[in-house]
Amino acid sequence: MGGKLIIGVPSKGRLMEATLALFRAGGLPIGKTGDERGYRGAIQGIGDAAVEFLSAGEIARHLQSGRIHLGVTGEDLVREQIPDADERVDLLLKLGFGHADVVTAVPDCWLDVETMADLEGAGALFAAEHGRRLRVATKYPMLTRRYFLSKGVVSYRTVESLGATEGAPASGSAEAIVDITSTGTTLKANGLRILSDGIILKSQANLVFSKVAGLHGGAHQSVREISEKLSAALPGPGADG
Amino acid sequence: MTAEGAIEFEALEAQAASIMSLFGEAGYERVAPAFIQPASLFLDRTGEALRARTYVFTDPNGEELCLRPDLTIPVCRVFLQRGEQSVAAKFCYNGPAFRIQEGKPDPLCPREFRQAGIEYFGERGEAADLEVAALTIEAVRRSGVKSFTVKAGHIGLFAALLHALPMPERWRARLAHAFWRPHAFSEELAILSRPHDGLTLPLPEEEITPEGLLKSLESRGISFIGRRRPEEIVKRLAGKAADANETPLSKETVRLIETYLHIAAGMPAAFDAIEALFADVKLDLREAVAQARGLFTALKATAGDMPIVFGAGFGRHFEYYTGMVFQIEIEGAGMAGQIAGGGRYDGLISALSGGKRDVPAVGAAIHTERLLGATRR
Repeated sequence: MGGKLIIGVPSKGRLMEATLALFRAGGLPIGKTGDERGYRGAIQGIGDAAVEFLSAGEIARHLQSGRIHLGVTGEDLVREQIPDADERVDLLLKLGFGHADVVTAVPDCWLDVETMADLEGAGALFAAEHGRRLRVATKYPMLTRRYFLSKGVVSYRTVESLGATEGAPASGSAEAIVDITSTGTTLKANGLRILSDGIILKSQANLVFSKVAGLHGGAHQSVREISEKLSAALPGPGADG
Repeated sequence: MTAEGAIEFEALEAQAASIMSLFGEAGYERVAPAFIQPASLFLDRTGEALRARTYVFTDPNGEELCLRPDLTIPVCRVFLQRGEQSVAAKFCYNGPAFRIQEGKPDPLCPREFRQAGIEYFGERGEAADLEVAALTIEAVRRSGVKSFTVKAGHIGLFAALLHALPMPERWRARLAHAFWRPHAFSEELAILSRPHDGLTLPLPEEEITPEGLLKSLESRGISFIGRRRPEEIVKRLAGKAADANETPLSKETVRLIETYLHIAAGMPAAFDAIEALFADVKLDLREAVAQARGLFTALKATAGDMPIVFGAGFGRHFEYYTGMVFQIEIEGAGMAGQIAGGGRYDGLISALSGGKRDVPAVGAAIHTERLLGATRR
């Protein structure tokens, strides 16, 4: 790949479509190179850039290790997967799509639990009554641990959630959850409620720069150019909520 | 200082052999628990802070396992496997434990290190506390560390103080629960010393019963889900309702607790200060204080020239301790200077056996790589 600027772009779904549309709107259309079903591409007008289509999670990981220089991925994944995120990456630009809140939710029937402090009280009692810790199902153990600690919540344990996290309390595989939600409808349908101070992160897709990838020469100019053109293509301030 | 180089390996082996022979002579039977342990035993006992530092994995059968982050719980399992007829036992061990270390590799905080330790099951009194602490000090001394400090505390004494102060039992439970986190503890003290007004309950007080709760949920169209029982929800609601009518903790009570937790001094000055504080307010804790004073006075005699610093607020790090706690430190050496520690943990066997066995226990462990480092200072 030589001295090329490597850009990670989401490889599927809404996130990919919105990313491609934004690059197109910014005058930086991304085209696939080689096979149409392949995972490599190029940006018209930025000669030294190579595009790799990756999952949003892989993009975060590769930004951490510095294998790619620039990428489009969710802030939730950046904060979850990169322990020292502020040292390793720069969130250059909020892109106005891929909105998702990472929230703490409990069964709506817990009338005694309104706040994170209540959750700690409930967890302490739960441990005494059941002989084990209250379980919090999540795909975000790092974010959960950091936020719970900051709120003084320690009487719990995380359990790894692989599938539909919202179903865990009803099925009995966990008591509470930390998960992403965009509208809250799925939480409600599963009998769950967000705690009043339970919003951990309001996330959206970002253009992210890896500070550890090591970039030289004109590549910095290309990063600036991409960032400026995408910024100009974004709807006006306030429109992205 | 990993043991990968042959010289370090030989040095650690020689040091361990000497420690294990000391423990053996004192009547401790050597055990070798499995490296791989069921993860839930640790995760349910030690919480997320240690979980973040534990190598957890799932085997093809779906069982959640971990590399032991510590040897105390595995040794407790060895004790439980001996069955009901074993009422008392003294075990010693030497072997690796594994912890994820964040950030840059630090030779004195390796991800794989060896613990040498002792666990004494089935004895409740100060004699067992003294034996374990004294033997650990002796092991450190014999290994060639010339100068160290013993930092000590007593969780049981704090529990006795809470018991002697006027407040509802559920407030004692809250303060005892928050004790392990000094910041949360201060917050709880502040909350409990303020009037509890402005509270709105989601249920009228007379409906705070399991039946009342379920009826109210039904009328709101909320279905009851999950493993947390209606009784638990009601218990907390009833507690909130009762808190609203309770007299807040007095200024004197708060000041007494804070003053007590700040006491930190050598022996016997620390206990002189504690007795003076309690005499002032006519609290009858005499027996508990006298027992603790006796224990640390005796320990002071065995420690010889090495200073013992008793801190009433010391020991707020491992939630399973219930009584005496101690740590052997090289002053000014940071984490690398924390070479050994232990304490009494009377609730752990009961918790690990699901309440089937209630066996008191006291134990200690030496971080052997740090000990070797300390002998070379």
